[in-house]
Amino acid sequence: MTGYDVVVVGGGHAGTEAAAAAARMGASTLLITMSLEALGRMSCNPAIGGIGKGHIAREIDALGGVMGLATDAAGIQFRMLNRRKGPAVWGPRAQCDRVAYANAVRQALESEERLQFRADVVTRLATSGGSITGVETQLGQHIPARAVILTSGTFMNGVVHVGEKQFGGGRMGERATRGLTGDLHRLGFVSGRLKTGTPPRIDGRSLDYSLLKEQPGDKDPSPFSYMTDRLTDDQLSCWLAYTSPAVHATLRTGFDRSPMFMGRIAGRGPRYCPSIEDKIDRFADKDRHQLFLEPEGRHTYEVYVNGFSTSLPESVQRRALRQVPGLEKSHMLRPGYAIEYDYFPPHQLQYSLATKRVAGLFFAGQINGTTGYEEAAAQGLIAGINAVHYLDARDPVVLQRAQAYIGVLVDDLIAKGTDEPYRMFTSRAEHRILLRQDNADLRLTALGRSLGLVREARYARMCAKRRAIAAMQRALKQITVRPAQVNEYLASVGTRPLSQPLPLAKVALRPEVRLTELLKAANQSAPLQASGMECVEDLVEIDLKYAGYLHRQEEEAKKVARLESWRIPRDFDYNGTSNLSMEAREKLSLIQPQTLGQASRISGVSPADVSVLMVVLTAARAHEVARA
Amino acid sequence: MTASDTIAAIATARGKAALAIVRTSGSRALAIASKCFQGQDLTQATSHTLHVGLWQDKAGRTVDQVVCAVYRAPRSYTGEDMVEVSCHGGDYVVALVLQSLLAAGARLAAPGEFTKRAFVNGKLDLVQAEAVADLIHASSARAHRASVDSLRGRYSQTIEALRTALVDICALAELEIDFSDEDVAFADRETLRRLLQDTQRLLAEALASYALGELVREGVRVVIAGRPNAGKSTLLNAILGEDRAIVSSAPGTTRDTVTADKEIGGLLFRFIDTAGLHNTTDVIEAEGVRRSRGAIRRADLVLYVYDVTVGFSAGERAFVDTITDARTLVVGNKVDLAGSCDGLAVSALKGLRDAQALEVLRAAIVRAVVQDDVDAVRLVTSARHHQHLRSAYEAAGRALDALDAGTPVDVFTLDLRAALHELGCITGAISNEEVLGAIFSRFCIGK
Repeated sequence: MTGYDVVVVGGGHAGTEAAAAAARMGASTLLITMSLEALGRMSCNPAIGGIGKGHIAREIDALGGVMGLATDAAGIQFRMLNRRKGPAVWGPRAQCDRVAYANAVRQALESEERLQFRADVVTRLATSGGSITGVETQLGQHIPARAVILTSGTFMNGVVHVGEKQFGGGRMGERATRGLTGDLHRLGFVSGRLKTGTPPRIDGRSLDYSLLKEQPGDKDPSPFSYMTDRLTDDQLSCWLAYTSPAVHATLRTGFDRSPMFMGRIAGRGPRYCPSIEDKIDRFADKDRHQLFLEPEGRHTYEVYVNGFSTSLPESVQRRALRQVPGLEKSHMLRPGYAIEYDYFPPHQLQYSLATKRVAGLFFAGQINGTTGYEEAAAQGLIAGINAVHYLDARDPVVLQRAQAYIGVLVDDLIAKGTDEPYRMFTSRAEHRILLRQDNADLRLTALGRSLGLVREARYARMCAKRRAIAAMQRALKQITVRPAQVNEYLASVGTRPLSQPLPLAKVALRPEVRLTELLKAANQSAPLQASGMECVEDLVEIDLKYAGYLHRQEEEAKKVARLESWRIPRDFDYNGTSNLSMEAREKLSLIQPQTLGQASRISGVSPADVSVLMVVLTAARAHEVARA
Repeated sequence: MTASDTIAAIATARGKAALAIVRTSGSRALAIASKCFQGQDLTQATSHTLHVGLWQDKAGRTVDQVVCAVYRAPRSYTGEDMVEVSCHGGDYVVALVLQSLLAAGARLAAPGEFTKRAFVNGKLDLVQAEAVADLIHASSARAHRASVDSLRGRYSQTIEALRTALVDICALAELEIDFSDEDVAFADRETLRRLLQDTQRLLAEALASYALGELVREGVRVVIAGRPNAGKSTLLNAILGEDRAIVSSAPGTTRDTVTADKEIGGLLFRFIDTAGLHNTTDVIEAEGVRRSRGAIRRADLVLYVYDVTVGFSAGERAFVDTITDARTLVVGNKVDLAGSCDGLAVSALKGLRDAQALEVLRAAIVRAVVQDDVDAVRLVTSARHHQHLRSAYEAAGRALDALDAGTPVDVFTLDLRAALHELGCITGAISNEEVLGAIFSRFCIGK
């Protein structure tokens, strides 16, 4: 059979981004998935983004990924979360039409010339001399490949639980993959078991909407992609419902048949995504829980009951749901379930997402212990980039923590590992105010272009935005406004009037003043007209108002960067460095950080250990220079 | 870790010496030393020059007369601008000089950091590199022991409580960021302000109580114990060089514990004379004995005095062996009346009027307390803790200011995090996970 540069195993959010990136960067790529109809499928809730996750989606887009454009194409409701909070934590979120989303992803992939598809199941990895050489499939084919990216999601030894029923499956109605875990064990990998869950789906025609609270989309919706100018005006609403003590009492009747409580599920689930039974068990004093009823698409009545994730027996789920006000006559289309699956603790990876054991083999997505479409997609993108760099013997691309949420994600996984499904939160990012959804393009698009991921039009757009920002910043400093121009506006927001002309930049510093409104009030000449470009005024305003904080975070980031520039050789012998503490030696040998910065973030590695490493590395370098 | 920041540390070994050196290195070394130095403006001084003047602390009080040696980059040990301050020996003065450099903007050097900088700046050759690594390792192990030691007391509880309070405030603030669409009660700004003010006040208290570290600030508690009429009070008077305790030959004269302060070898010693330790039927005396035993429990050092003419009995040996919380120095008194003895031999009444004999006793007392490097490092460690506490206090203050200025919560948390980080540098526990953990354990989160 024909060989490929890169074979991607799996067609979920990680697999599709990995395949698109590798192909676009010039590699002949094959994506193998059990069912081509499931490409880009949203297997859990029909939404992309949110706080932290929305940031990742914007970064994927800034690097030329698939997710942002697919969301804009398939979105049926757009909201910017945290709009009333500070600038760093605005999080775009979109409800998507599940079918339209998968179609958009498939179309994007099919437009990549070097990308081929195959419906099959990979059962074995072929290696030679510690390097990957290809994959073997259920249909008996050997497919040669120079690099392989595994993105098998929840499919490896997946077991679905509904009450006392349990059966193998990767998602409800789809087969699990068997054999691959055993094959990875054969290659020396260690696996663990995780669990996640999903709520029931119900028929939207059976709901009493008069008892539910409407949650409409934003009037002025913001797109996910930096390339999108306009979104649909025709948005659908979500609806809020609440559980009650009666609902909780009914759910409790199923506890003795709960696979969670009865110990049939061994895998660890995410704390931030508990099942409804977990919530009423752990927070017994809370007499109601919020449910979000999310439409699954424009052409279906199916509704996703977000907040009601459960693996209780189907009959208990049905009865409990029917006690929720507004859902009394609800018809359940499919029950909620829990799924257990194999994952491979990520200390077995390098920062490129390549495995340490087998050269040319990469892991991305839930296989690494994460949860969420955005987290998976981000890893897919990074693995796709680095697979191509591996083929070309180029240095891996590692995003820094101060550069992108994707950098935080990968660093957390590899330096700290995870024993519950890992999800992004903004509080995980210590350089949060540098990593905003409004500047992902400024942070990453130039990099994307140098990698060959970003096409000219996107790059030009980013450059134009950069110029517009600079122009506005200059103008704000140069142009002064007279009291008569702005005092009416200033009074309207409750701040003191001007007594003399002031530069606009000074006036804009006041906390009550919004730059866009000030510009409108000042009725300024051309350079101050709103740019018409997304985020420009916001960015300029943030730079003005939070200059001190931004500066501090940039300084901190620089300090960290200095440590990142100390590379540690791959075969570095920590055990031969007796000056390191025992704990540091163990952790460093296990994780094998690539830079001193990474080493410093591993728990158990003290500042003194970092100093010792610094000295030893300098000595080693000097030694090499002396020899040469 | 930054090459550009300015560090300071005590350069000379601890213990009795006529002179000691505190040094500072970094881009601001000359400016920082100048702030404390009353004499020629060091920032204008040429390299390799010496300057005599007065050293002043932050409040402008004169600490000592010193000589500053100025070295300009790259012609210095570290390759950076450096000032070496020669002051008079004794831990107290040296600690004050260091403290004033820190207050003027220097950062306490990490173990081996001067040498490390010298190495990184190409001032040491390859052979010396291994030695540097050894040094960093060894001194960090000592510092660690010292910090564990100093954290064993009530400070560890105070700091831990402060950290927990800050984690909780962080969790409250982060809750409304990462989980804004959840159905949970968010803290309003007033609640956050109140919690933060409480925490900042506690930080201020901890800061005030830290000062220069317990040993320096509170003094070394030395309890003089022994049988009635062993000459405890005479010994104390001899050490103090003044008549403070009531001295008479009638056994059991000292019914109350007597406290007197004396600086020896730069350290403050607080002497506590006790009533004689024997079972007594006298009510007042019995009370004194009870207090004596209490005093011993709180002591850093017990000077056990016995009368060599009576001998050191098995009972006394057994008693001394029961003292486990403090170091013990056995002193045989009245050697003028008998030839030899166990332990340190003195004649409090006669011999100690002799300056040399007194020196021997005083040196023995200092050695007994400052037995190893752990104690030396402890002073430095507590200066380090002090610095982190101060930074935490300042960060909490900035967070309060930000809150008052209506700064958005995501920006305001930066200062909270900074405060948390500083406290974490003392206790060693720092993690983003902790804040998330606090959120998940306290609030019902998630869809």
